[in-house]
Amino acid sequence: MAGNDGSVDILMVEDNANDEALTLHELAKYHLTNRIQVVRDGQEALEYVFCTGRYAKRDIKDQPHVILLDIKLPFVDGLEVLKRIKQDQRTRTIPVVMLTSSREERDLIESYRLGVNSYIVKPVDFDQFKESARTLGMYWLLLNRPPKAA
Amino acid sequence: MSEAGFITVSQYATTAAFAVIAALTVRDWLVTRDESRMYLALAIGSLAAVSVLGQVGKLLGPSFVAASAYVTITVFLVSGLALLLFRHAVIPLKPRTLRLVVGIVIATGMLEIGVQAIFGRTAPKPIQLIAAAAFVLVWSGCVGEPSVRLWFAARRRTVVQRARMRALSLGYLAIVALLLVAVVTSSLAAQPAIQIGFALATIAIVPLLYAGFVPPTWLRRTWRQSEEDKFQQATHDILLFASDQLALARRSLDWAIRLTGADAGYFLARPGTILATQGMTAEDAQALLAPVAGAGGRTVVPLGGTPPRSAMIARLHVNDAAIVLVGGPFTPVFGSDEEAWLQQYAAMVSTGLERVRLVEALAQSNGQLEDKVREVTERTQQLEAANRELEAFSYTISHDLRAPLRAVSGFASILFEEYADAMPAEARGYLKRVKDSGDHMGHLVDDLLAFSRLGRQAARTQRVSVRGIVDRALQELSPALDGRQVEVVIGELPDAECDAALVEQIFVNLLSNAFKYSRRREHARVEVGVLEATAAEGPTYFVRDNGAGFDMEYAGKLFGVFQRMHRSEDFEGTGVGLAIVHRIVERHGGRIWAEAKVDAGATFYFTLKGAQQWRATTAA
Repeated sequence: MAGNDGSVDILMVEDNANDEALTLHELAKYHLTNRIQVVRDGQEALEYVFCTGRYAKRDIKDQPHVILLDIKLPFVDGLEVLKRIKQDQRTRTIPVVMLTSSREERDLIESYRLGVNSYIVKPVDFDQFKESARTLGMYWLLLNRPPKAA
Repeated sequence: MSEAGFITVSQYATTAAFAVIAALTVRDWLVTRDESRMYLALAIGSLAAVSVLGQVGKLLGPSFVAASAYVTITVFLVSGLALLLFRHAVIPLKPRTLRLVVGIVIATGMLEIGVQAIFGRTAPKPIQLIAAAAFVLVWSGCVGEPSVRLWFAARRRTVVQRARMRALSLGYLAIVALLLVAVVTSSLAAQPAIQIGFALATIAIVPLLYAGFVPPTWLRRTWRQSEEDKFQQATHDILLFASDQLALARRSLDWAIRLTGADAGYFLARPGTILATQGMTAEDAQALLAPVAGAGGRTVVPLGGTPPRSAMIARLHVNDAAIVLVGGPFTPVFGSDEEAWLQQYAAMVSTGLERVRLVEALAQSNGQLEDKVREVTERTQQLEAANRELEAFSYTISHDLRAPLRAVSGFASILFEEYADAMPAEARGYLKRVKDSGDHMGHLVDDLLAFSRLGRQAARTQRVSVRGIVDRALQELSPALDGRQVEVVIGELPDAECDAALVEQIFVNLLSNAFKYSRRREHARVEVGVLEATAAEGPTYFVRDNGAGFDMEYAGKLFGVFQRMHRSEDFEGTGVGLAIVHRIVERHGGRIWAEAKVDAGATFYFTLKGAQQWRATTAA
């Protein structure tokens, strides 16, 4: 679903296919899925963002408008991915939204400590979930104005 | 007084002094029954007898002197031999040497007697002079050698023993001096001035004999004195700073030996248990246990043996402990003064021993305390580990259990909303059930997590306004009322010492129950208030409604997790709310109970204080 030039609007890091399908379904309703890249684990997410490994041919200057990041991921967990992105000068301005099942307070605190831009608990109730996905897409893709990458 | 008269008086005085010393040594022997003392008594007694015979001879004239000459010589001989044997008792000679010396002494004595018998007391012949000279020289050797020997052997001894040995040495020397005086006096009898000088010398020598062989109490004290000054300093060390029983035993034993001039000793911790020895092996001390135990009330026990020894016992007042001192040849005397000193010393050591025991007991109980602390620390660590595990568990539930639920209710929703037209009505009904069940389970998981989080949450107790808490709870619940008309009556609510956030949760849960179960009432009424406070539990808070109530028969299940008193068709819910309330109340150390009647409302009472303080319970 990536754009022809290789750049995307949303990088979605999600290992749960159901959650991915539900999110994409909602975003599609509002025509926000044109350029979305889905990766399955933290390792792949890091490779994508830092243009290494499987994504070595990517240009690091082409970064998504927002990264939707789950906390619980195989290989490298979401908090580690967040940390690496926020520590690197080249990537720290990319908005990162934690979109997670975890209601644990320590995850919330740790995420903000690492510089997350938003923390959203995936509601079980689908109506709420839909609402979250919709406002999320609207806000980060249409309303938010990110600084030009350094 | 004429010169002759003075000489006579001084000679009488000398004889009398000898008799007195002889009596003293005999008494000393009778008291101690000590072999060496026996020889000493014999030696001094013989010398006194010679002196007495001399005086008697002067009174009764030449015929008595002639008759008693052999007796005098024999007795004199005995004195020399006795002194030699005394020396042997304190510093043993080799058996061969002893036999040789005794032989020589007897031989020269016989020679003198023989010469006297053959030639009588006529004009001196060379043979008489030779025999007399041999006799006197051998006798002087017997007496002079110990003098020198004792003097030098005294080096490297403790102060008291050294003093005792030097005194003995001087005593022997004094006897030699006496003999010389006697010989010179008899040969230079013509000159009264010289006779007077020697008479005076004799009288002066007698006290030396006395001090040397039978040291009186005052002299023994003087010997102790220099040690005792040092001892005073050491007492503080022994009594106040000895760290354990062994150190105390060693030091107190050392000082007892030094001050009494004993040879050796041991410290008995309790009957049969030797804690420390000095100057003797543990086996030797072991061998002495029986005679010492059989001493009864006596403090000085003769031990026999060669040279003969005696033991002095100082009984301590703790656990039948005792210090036992073994006297040696140079132990001055275990007299009443030493005994008195030792008993006083024993009282002091007892005090020190008592102190050390207390210190040791304290150290032991400190050790036990440390063990306990370590145990508690370990237990805490185990609990912390269990807590972490539990946290990981609920973390997993939080994430993994919710994800599939989201999928169930999410996809059901999509079907329901976007493909409803394609489904028959029955299928739509089933689908609705799928979605509702998914949502319900989601709430169950959320509530359960909230409940388990309670267990590991840190306490933040402070004085807060309960009225403020209730107001916030009502505000939080107002959207759920959905415009319903409920009469809420709030009574006087005193402030409380509690965790505001948790207590707010209590009121949110109890009030939301009250609203929920009274919703079928035309006129719903909810009341919040307190009963009279008690000192132990503080005020009792209550939340009352006029709703559906419940059957008190099932009140026991009220606060269990997932326990419900109503069918979910009638009233929705997860059955966790009251369990949460119960846990919060419990963690404050309070208690909670309810009164209800079916269709007549329910009242929940709780306290926030009780016998127990805030407990850090772990999540169940």
